[in-house]
Amino acid sequence: MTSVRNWIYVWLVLTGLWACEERIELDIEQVPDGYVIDGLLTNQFKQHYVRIKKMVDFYDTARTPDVKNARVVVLDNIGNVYDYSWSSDQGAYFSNVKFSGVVGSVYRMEVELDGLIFHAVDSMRPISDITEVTWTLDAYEEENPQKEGYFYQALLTTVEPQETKDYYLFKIYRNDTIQRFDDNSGVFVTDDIAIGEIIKNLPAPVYFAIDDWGKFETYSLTPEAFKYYFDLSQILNNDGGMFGGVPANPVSNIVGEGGLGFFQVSAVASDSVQIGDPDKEASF
Amino acid sequence: MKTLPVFIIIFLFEVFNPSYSQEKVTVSGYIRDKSTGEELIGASVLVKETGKGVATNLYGFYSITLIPGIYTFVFSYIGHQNVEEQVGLTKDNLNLNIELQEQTVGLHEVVIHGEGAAAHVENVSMSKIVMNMEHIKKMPSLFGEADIIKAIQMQPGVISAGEGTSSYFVRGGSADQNLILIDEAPVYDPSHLFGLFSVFNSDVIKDAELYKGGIPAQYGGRLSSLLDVRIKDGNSKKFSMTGGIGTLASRLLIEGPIKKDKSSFLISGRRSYLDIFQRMSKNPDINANLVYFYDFNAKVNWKSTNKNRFFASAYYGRDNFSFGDDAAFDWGNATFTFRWNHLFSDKLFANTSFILSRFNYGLNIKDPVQALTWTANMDEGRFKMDFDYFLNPQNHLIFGYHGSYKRFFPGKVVPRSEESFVKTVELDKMYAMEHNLFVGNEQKLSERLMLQYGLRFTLFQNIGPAAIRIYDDPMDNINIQYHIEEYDDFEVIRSFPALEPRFSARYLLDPNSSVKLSYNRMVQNIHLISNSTVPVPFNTWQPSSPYLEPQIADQIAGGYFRNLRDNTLKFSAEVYYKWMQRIPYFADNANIFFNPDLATEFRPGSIQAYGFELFLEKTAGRLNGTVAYTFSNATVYNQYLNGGEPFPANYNRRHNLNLSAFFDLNESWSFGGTWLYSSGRPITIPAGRYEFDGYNVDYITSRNGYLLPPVHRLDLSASFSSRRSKQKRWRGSWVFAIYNVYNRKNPYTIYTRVAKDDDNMIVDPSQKEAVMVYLFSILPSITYNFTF
Repeated sequence: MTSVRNWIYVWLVLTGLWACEERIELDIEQVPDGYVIDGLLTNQFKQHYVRIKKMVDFYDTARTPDVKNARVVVLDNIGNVYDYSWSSDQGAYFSNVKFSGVVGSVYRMEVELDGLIFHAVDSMRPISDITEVTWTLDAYEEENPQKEGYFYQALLTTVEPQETKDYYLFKIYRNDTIQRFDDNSGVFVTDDIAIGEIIKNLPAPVYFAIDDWGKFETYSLTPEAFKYYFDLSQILNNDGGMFGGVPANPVSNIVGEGGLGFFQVSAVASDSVQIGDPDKEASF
Repeated sequence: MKTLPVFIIIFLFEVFNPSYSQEKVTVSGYIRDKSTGEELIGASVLVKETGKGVATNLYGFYSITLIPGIYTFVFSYIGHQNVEEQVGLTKDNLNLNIELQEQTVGLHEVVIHGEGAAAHVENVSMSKIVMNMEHIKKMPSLFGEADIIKAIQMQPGVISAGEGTSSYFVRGGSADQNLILIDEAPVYDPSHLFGLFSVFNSDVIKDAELYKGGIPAQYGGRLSSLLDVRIKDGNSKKFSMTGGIGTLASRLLIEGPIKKDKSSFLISGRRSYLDIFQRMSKNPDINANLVYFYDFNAKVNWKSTNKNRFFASAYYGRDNFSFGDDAAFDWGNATFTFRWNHLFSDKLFANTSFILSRFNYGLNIKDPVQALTWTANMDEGRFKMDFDYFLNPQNHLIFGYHGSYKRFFPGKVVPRSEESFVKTVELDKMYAMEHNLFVGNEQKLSERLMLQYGLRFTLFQNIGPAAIRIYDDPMDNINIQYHIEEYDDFEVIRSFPALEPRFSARYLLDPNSSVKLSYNRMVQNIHLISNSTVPVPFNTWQPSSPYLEPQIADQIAGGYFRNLRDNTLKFSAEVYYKWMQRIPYFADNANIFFNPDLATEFRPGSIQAYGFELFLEKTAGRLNGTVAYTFSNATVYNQYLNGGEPFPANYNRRHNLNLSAFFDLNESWSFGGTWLYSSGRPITIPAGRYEFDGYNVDYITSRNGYLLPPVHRLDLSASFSSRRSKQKRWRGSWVFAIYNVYNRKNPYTIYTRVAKDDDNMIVDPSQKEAVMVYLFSILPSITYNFTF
């Protein structure tokens, strides 16, 4: 039902057809201490990461500071233990070894820092392979493009198993740069309540230029992860509670005082297309 | 409940008082407008010799019982000339129908609304506002459209949801706690064009009354208020046409007799034309997004005999919004009322009504890959029998039965194309039946003391067919586990009986002042599924059910009422306290749209509200107007939200001040102005921010801990009317209005985003900023109104 909810957001935005805006300074109280833990473990064979950052004041213009002195470890439910180490090049903790997460396994992340202990648990659900990614020209956008030269679409075709209740996160890349709308508020998450078995030619919500690479990644989510990303989308797109809900923090699976964020375990399916590849042009 | 037997004793004594055994005669009839034949609601009937009087009921009927003799009856109504009739009563009851002529005001005449204004002090009802339709039409308004909802938002105790909205909050209650009736049929969404217009065409309104408290026993169903709008019956004397051409919409009303003085009809329509202007624009962002509304009212009535009258009225309205070729939304209300008034005797009046009401909406997404149609609706069928029994001059009884059947359809999604990845999904329908029995009495104990008391019994039943999800943990909205219990058609799933006592008292200090007290308990069994400050058309309603208990409100109010300067100045001061329980709040970031497990998002809480209201109205002379001030507070207590700490309700506004003034310069020119002030709305803002997976996310601490800046605005209007002429039936007038004269940027909401420059480009993804949204800057408008 993400498409329906997205259209509701569009309606809410368009009620401001005659709205005007101006920047204001808020008189905000001091931000409390808190740690934000952002971890991702997938079925891809690689070193997986956990990022730990601190919160800052709302008007603080600096990047949020990294926490570099934590002890991070991930354990699975069959006895494997993976130690993580800080990488200053990448600003995160990475597993010391490459490994693949296993569908059906449960993973527990433990973090110790500054005398505090945090942990989180998530499990890996299966994901269907992407059938194909193709491209097409959007003639309507070509007539009046928002950005010169950008009027091609990347299209996703995949299947959705009907016998299970599933949740998905989509990530879209243009030339290896993740796309989240210009204001970085796009969270593409959905449940499967109204999704049929065949998803054919679903366009990415961005346009591409010729020779660009467009990539789709689909992530399986647990109900807890879906809830987190659903909440994240709500707070990123909030209108101050006028026509939508009152802003509230996403429900985290990080257990420990002052802990925010999410430790996510997902199977990933991925495919890409180069715009203009004659073998990958979509057929309708 | 020790007080109950006392009232029964008083009632029985008054009813069986030996003085009443003397033979009496009843005078009854209808009071109508002489020009149109419309029955007049709340018209006064005073017997000079006894000093006693009654008022006509909602159908223009009155009845008064006296000892045989010669009496002088004075019939009066606001804006009409009084009529005096000397009547000799013997042993036979008398049917006396009266027509009152509308008062035409010369330039230097002073209009005194005499006995009508005295009702402000003398009537036992309090916390009730009878809307002055003439004032409403003179008020400067947004885009020049006179609107009753906008006028209601200017009343004491009523808070507007925001500029351009048709939602309002009454004494600490949310928008869904207001029952809005059009000819007895409930209206579930009172707005057009996102709230710029309401569903009410001011040309067709005969009477509108807003109850904020002291609600009599025949009314129920919502916690906070009742807006009872009655449509005109149609001019039974002659054909006439009324209309207006405005900046955004136009309207036309045609009415006239089918058979003079026996039956009449009324039909009206409105349509906006913003979409026509949009299509003319070359800007694709404008010409691709079209929005318009239309609505119709129709009514026919027939007075078959003096004892039987029949009415049928209908309303249909629709809003349409299309977003290019990609999507289209539409929503609207439809109502139908059939009513039969019957006189069993000169003392016993009955109204029987059959009512149908529907609200529905639809969303169509046209992109073939995700093409879908999403529909939802709510239907209600209702049967009402209301009795007015004018027992004697000291007792006016009301009693009756209401029954209804409701169907709630939360939504169905259907693919629109073969390529669509959407599959058909339908949420379970819900059904309910409701029975109401009520009895009440308005009793005059003495010249000074009058009581109004009653009891309403409600039995609300959630019924099948249904497949109810019984959750292992109803509070777990993530890992949802449940089993199903099946129910057959009309099988009762849950019953919710409730008693709703009502009480009001008025004590006359002197002929020009009184004190009043009221208490009412209200129960609400249908609930709007909304977690926003302002409801949107996509919100659905649900009945009380296994996981949604009835909402309850207890309100006590007291007030001082005074008339000054020969009843040309009305003053009132009221205080109230209201405690509301089982208010359906939702979990943080609740998924309320198309969620089959919505019950796991419910987080019920309580609200404590109190306030103080001052009201002053001048009703005579060339300059008249109102001053309304409200001090109020509404606090939410909810163990599941805000860490269990109390927080201000979304619609809490500490101070509200509304001023309105109207000045008749001469027969042609009149001027109007309004100025309003309201404290800012509570809002939730971030205390800090953090980064997650590249997103720049607000960190929230306290809920509704920040106040928007206050709202204030000045609106002015000038209207020019052509002189009345006996030769010409056509009469036109121009209304020139300016909305927001000093161009105040009134805050609508505040939201946060990644910082952008003036070209709307992101400056730095790690920077955030707060943005205030405001709607309307200075807006002139011109409207041409006509009558024929």
